[in-house]
Amino acid sequence: MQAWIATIIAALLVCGTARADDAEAAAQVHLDRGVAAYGAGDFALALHELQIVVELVPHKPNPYRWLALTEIQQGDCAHARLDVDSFLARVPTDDARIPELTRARDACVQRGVPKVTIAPPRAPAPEPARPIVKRWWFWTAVAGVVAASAVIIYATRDDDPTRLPPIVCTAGGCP
Amino acid sequence: MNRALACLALAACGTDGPCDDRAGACIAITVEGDISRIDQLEVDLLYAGLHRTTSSRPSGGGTTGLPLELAIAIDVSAETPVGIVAAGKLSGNVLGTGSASTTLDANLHTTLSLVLAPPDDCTAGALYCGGDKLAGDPETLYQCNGGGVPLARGVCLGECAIRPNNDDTCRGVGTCVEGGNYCGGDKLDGDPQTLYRCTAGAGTNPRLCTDGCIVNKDADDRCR
Repeated sequence: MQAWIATIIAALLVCGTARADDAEAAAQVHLDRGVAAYGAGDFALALHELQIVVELVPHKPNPYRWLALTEIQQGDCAHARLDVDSFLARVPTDDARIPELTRARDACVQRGVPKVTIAPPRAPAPEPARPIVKRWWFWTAVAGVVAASAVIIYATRDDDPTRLPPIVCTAGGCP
Repeated sequence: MNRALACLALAACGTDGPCDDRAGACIAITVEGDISRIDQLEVDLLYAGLHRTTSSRPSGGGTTGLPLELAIAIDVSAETPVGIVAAGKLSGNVLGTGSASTTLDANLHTTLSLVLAPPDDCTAGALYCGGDKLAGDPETLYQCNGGGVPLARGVCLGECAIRPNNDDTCRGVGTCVEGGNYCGGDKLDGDPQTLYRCTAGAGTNPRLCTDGCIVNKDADDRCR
């Protein structure tokens, strides 16, 4: 009899562990979706996904954190306060995420919804400027200017129209 | 960059200067100014105690724009200061005047830039220091020439004094000897091309020297 009882308890434990592993895996999928939706500014979808996560793994603190952040963005400060409290109840008092979350909660209560800032994708860094003398067109242009100058000078060197006849002065005067 | 500049400099070396084919002392003058065209450049020269006025016109007649260049060749055998005043004219009207000065020596070639600016309203025949209602060297006395280039009277030995209600004059340097003859500016005030008699420290009995007044150190000055 005792052997049977032990066998049944062991079977229940194994089954329970298996269900817990399945729930955590599913929760991770929904958490990832919720965080992605939050980052994209789709707070309604984020809320839906994160509520599923909380149902699947109610003992985990992180889903409450994301849920609270989502509710704050939606202006639902009352639910946000409850979820912040749930998060605080599940983490040590020195958890690094606490200050950020409580600041967001307080801001929601005092001033309304904090503005969502989603950083735009970074533009590729500009290429370092090359010196102008190392650009292919520079010396081509210089050569063109030199050639044009030489042609103009050569073409105008004789019979310069802006040259007046010389003035020649001797002891007798300047005729 | 340096290569490019060197090439440009080499190309520019191909141009001839107006004095290049001249033996002896020569001034290559570039005349500039905000004047569209002229048909004559009138030039007043003062060098070695001599005063000469001449002009140059475009070859073949017509007009020419600015800038222009010309050579002034002067027969000198020693270091000689040269004062130049020029007037750009079109159909007999002076459109601009300008002045410049340099020092020549035998066989020396030099360059000079001269800018023509609209002439001031001087009184024809009156005497002015350069810059006082006519273009010129501030230490040289000129005569206003109504229809042409200001005529240099001579470089003052001392100060060229501007007198608002009278002709400008060269101040005498030192004290003249009673009864002696002096060029203006030499120990008595006056025109450097006029010979005066010293009377009570001032010039009297003015006599115009047609070809310059010669200052003598130990004797009376005289007309050339």
